[in-house]
Amino acid sequence: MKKYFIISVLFIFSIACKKQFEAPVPETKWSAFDSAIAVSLSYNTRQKLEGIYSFSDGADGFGDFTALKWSYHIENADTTFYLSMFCEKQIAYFICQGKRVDTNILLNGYWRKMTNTETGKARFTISRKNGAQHLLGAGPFNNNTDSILITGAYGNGADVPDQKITLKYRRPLYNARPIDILADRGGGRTSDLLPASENSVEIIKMASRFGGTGIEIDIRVSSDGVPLLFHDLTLNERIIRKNGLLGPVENYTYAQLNALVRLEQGEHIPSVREVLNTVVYNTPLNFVWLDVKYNSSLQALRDLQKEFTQKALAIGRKVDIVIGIPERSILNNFLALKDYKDALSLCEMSLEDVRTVNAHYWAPRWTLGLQNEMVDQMHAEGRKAIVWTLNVPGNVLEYMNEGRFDGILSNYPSIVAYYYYAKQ
Amino acid sequence: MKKYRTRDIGIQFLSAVLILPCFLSIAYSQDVPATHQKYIFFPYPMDRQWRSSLGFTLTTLPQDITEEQHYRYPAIDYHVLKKVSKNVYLDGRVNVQVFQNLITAGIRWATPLHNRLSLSLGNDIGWWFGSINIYGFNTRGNGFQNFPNASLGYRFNKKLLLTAKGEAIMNLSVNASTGNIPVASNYRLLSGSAFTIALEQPFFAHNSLTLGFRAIYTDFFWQTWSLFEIFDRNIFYPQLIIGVTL
Repeated sequence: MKKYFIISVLFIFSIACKKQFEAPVPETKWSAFDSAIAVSLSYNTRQKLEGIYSFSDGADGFGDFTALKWSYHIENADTTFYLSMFCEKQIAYFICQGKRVDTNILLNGYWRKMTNTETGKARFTISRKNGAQHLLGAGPFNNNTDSILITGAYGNGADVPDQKITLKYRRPLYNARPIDILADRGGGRTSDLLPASENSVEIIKMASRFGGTGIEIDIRVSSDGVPLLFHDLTLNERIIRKNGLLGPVENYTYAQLNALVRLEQGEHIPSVREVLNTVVYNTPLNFVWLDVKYNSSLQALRDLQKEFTQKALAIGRKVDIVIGIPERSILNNFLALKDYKDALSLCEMSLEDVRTVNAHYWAPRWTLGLQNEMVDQMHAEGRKAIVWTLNVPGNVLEYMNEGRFDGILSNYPSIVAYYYYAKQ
Repeated sequence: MKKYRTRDIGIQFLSAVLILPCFLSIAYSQDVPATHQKYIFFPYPMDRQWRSSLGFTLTTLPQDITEEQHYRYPAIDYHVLKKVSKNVYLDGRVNVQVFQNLITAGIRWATPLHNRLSLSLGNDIGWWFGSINIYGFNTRGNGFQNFPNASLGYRFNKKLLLTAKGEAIMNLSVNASTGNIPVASNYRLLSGSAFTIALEQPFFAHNSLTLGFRAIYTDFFWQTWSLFEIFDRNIFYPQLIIGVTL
């Protein structure tokens, strides 16, 4: 009898292992899509393809509707366009690239559900008779007479897509009252198992694919005064790969951190200069919230803010780079700047503090409520209000419909994007 | 989409290899019947009307969801059993962290299988509730959970009782609000499972000491209600259990 007991104990030990979760982006090779006759879609075609679509097939997995929105990434002279499909159910999204093959349009990519680790390949086709003729033509798309039917399939993991999806065009994306959709930590948290680490250059390049129109990044400073991106107070295994280094990043020079520390997905800790350079020259992002987490002079950050605001303007882009002020000590450091009144800033504190530093943005935490009257006060003074950090879909919807904020910060920008673009 | 870390498997295998021979080596000493011992986890028909223990549980919340709010506050753990009939007893438990607490009540059916081996089957209903003041805003939460469970006990001689317990964790409801804003939630009914190994042996002044380890795998652990995470995956929460059976 004893041996049965020992076997039982060993069984419990064996099942009591710590599981490591992963959601790797699947390989998306598709011979038809990668063929020599497949060519890029024109700007006109891409624009006409955007909109709200209903699921005729696939609603069980992704909900009733999806919002299709293009974004892009520039690398050297190459621009890659991505079509994101934002869904409500389980905060799912698709990220595809599009090409034209003869008179058809092919969309090829992957899907992911953010509440869990489910992911897989996705392939779609728009045939000539299902709307490709209108989309590929030079004329405008008529919402009333033209129709688009996207047919395709999705698969689980590395499996060949075999589960049917059919999308039917319903209406254009909502854009009557623009808001900033801000992706937390440059695009998302490491714990959400995204393809890149939080606060890395790589995740920032992806932020717009996840629905972000802007980003929030966490700023600390190295011992030699280089502003850099790191969220936590100390180096730890939640964010970085084990390397033996301990304590705050402020204890190390930037050269030491760059050489010795790798983020969870293998990237180095980026400097603010590197990140702003990426935002301005490689992405469509138009808002950067520098969430200051160190208590010393903000001059270096202010200099970077001025430099990259000018660089963006020089290439015809308007990128709002704002210095975040979350608490009193940082507010005092901000006031120590000679030109603080001219510096674009965001204050998380009281309305009086917002006025004291002449902040352009007020950013209360969401747990303080909708605060519509205070938001109205800010609007009356020519300021804007951004709420942070909304992650629960039901609450995102509530703030979207009942709140008057000008922006929402979330770890799940795709759900904010869905609720925003699907508004009527 | 999940894999096992070889390091964790290695540690657990090593633990089993190191611990089990210790039990076997003492199995040839003086034998004491279960009815002569005090226990709270050991699945065995009760010989007295009441039995209780007082101690604490210490749960490590993973940094993935706590981030900089990473803490390890113990919860006071009061555990009481009440005999109903020869093989049936009630099991009540209170976990107190003041700002968040869990009360469970359930029933057990226990029977010896062998001179040293015994079994219990049971079900507990739990209600957790909490209230935290964040920046002047009262954040409140409560919910019901259900824990069907089975325990297997082995009585070594020299008064050492070993219990292996498996539980399913079911979320019946989760309600939370911050100020007057309800926090939407969509947790799974079948929320996960937990596996416990508990050792009970005589301790100071006719009392008995319980040392236990509970491995919890769930998409919602009640002590994390105020973090409002939406992960729909079973996260590992290791829990240490220490108590004195009075």
